[in-house]
Amino acid sequence: MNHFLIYGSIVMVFLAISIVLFVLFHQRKMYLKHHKINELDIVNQRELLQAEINATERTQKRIAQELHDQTGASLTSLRFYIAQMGDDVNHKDKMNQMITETADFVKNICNEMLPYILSEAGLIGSISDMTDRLNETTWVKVKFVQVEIDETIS
Amino acid sequence: MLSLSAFSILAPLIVGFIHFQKLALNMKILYILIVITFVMEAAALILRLQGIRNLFIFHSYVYVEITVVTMIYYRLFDTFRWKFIAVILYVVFIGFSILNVKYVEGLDVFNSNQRYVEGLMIILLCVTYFVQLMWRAEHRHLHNLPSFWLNSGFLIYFSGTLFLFMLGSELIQRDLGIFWEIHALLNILLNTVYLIALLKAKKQFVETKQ
Repeated sequence: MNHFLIYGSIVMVFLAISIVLFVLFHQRKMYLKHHKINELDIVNQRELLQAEINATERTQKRIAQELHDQTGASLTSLRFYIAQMGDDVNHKDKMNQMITETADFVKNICNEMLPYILSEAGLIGSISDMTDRLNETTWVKVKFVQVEIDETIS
Repeated sequence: MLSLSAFSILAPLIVGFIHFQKLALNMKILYILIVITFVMEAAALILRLQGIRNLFIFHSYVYVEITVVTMIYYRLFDTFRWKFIAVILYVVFIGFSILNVKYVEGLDVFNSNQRYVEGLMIILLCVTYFVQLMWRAEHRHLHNLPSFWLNSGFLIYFSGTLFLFMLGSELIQRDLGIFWEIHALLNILLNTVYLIALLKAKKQFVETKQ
């Protein structure tokens, strides 16, 4: 009776401790596995998001280039033709004005969708261009001064 | 060993009292069990010293213990199905206990059957909780979880005492000291686990506050 009781109890305690240890280690393994899966999900989502941003940028760039190269150029050509027409000065001026406005409008859309000057001339070139345009078109006089820029910033 | 077992309840009792406000509800429920255990053990000791049979206290204690344990697991389980099963098991156990007292083991004999069935029921609840923990895999370090310690303590204690309680009546009739020795050892272990669970609960409260 004594032996049965002692060994039986020891076996039961041993089994219980084994279950506790199994849960402790297996759960940690499961947690790490789940965590790894979650991390992979985040990486995948980030990649998808980046791909979407790239695709949008490419589309914007294509539309802006087409507007700039095709529509803008056509309007400019049209303005020259009208300028050479002669005859009805009032009518010609009105058409010319409309075409100029449309060309500016297209140019603005292009600039908004793809800051062309920024990619071509860089930040300093873009700011210089912007100040020049402001000085030409508004009464506000802006002066842009370029100082030594730390390489890490530029 | 027996004295150490009797006094081992004091450690969780004092620690729980000091940090009671910082304990989560489950740990507060556990603390109530610790207090009741202390009171009942003290009452049993006093009655024994006065030569009065104290077995009815152990009968009553089982009802309190199973009620508190079921409450704890009811709160720990996160699915309705297992909450429901815990309640059903509790109701069946209470029904069984009443029938057992009335027709099989009276209040003046050791409640072997009742304690044996209680042990089986709590082992089932413990294993279910472990399955839930593994299934959810929410915690990297389970050893920081008070409920993990509590569950482990219950599992080891009730597994170890399963044979003891199964043969309890016979052992007590034959006056085999081994029964009390093994029980004392497991009781010390259970009280130590209570202490760890309370300390972990307090630590968890401090970390949450920060």
